[in-house]
Amino acid sequence: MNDSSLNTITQKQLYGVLCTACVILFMASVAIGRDALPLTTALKDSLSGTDSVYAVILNQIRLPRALIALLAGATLGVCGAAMQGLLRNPLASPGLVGSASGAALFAVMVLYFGNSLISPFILPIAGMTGALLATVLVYVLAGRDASITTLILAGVAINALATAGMSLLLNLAPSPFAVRELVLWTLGDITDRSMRDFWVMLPTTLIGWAMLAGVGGQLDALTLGERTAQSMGVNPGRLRWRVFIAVSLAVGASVATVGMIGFIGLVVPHLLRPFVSHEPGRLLPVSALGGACMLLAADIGVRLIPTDSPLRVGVLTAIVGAPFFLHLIVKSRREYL
Amino acid sequence: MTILLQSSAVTYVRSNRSLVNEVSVSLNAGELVGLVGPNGAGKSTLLNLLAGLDDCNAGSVTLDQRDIKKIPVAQRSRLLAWVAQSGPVNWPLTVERVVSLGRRPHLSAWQRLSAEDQRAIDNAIALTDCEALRLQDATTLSGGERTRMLLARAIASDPQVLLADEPIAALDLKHQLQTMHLLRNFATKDKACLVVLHDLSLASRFCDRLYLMHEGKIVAEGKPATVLSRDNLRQVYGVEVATGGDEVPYIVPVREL
Repeated sequence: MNDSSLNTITQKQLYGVLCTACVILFMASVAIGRDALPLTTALKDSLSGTDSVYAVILNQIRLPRALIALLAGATLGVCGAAMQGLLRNPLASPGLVGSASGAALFAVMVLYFGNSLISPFILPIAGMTGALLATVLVYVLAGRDASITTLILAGVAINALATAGMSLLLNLAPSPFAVRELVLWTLGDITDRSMRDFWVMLPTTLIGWAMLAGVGGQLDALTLGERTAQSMGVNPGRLRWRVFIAVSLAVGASVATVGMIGFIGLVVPHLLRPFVSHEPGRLLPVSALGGACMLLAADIGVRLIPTDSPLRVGVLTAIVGAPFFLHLIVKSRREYL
Repeated sequence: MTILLQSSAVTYVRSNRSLVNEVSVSLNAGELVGLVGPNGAGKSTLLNLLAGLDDCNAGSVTLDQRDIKKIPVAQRSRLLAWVAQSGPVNWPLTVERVVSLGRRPHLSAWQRLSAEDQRAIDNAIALTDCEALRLQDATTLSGGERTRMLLARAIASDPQVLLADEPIAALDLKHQLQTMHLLRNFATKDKACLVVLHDLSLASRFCDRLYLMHEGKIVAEGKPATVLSRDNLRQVYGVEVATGGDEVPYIVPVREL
């Protein structure tokens, strides 16, 4: 299918397809598991307050899992699209600002020192603190009026620092069990999450999304370069930090809750870009829906693929995403490289 | 005569080098003014200062009788459009979509293009002879086509003041003429245009006034015939020129001094 035929798909049709896919995948995520869940019965029991097994499975296991997948997937998708629009580079990802690795480092620190046993809120809060701290460090390193290149370099430096910190903790872990726990956490997983995790990640995620709302037009203007965008009323410095902080908040909340889930933020905007005529602004909401669909689908996939040890969703997105991304690079190298 | 844009003794220093040195220029309603001078004279830097894209170290710039830095950026971008010497197009948007970005200053973040916006876009596309390019991928355009598209984007924003940095540098003869006529027609009644040019013949033919810039300073200003005197050109460009023509003046470099 070439670009022109993709463009014949109207905006309404695109939203229709993505929203329908999202709803179907969400319901499938709730219904599918080790034991199939009769949705209507579970929903009836849940709404009527009946303490049945179905209601418990729905309220305490499946619903939080599906909601968190929806929220984290949408975050990764929209943040990937925002970063690619801001940096005007299809290879940019939400992890570039250092927030994801900052969140991961702090979460691993909490697991390492066993603080997660004190309160269930400590792990996500530490993750979000780590994400924000990483962004502040990038800000301090790069300076207020930093160029895009300086910002990327500062992000890479903070990522390297956080990865080094994680490696150190893994190295010094007191037992093989602790190492296993730390490694598995960083792989990205949505099992055993509760509604409490969902409520903890929700506010920061929503603040991040709200900050990204309305930047579409400015990202469109950036297509013609920072100077022209500036002459069109865009403040490039302010826009940069707005996107960076938004991504940091939303991705930080997501990583703190589900660990590192790669490739969604990279591949989803790339896949959907031709459907919105390559317009960075229109790509944002579409990528949010696409990201949610992809993570919901991946999380259903890990339940359906038979493995001896449970397959982590971050591993599946990487296994599917990496070759697909390589294919995209090869396909578009004449265009971008 | 209403002064739309004015600079008072603006100075811009970078790396201990004075790129623009106490330059005062003005742009009146209805005027097409040319800014000419050799490479590295500071023309583009001055244009950036006049557009409010850079902050001057000394002096001030006023747009519509107000300090340009005190005008909110959204309002400023409705009053003034700036066309870069060359600029990237980072995503393969259609030419029409790029031109429609010119309406951005008139829209809020959530507003869609109205029928009036679409009329302004169509008009700008027609004026810049971009009709045949309308649905073309903007990243595949030639240098000249890209310049016309960027000019269309600026005209679509319907500004009072248009600042264009070498808009005819990459154009063929026909489109050079078309663009100069376009700028001439733009600068009527309550609008004005300041254009950086290297083609002194076209500058002489189309502009109401010229500023001749050299080493960060304005060394001559006034009617084209006065500014582009042989003496001035010899001093600034270091070349001997041949001039002639009454209705269609020409200035041709003959030899280096």
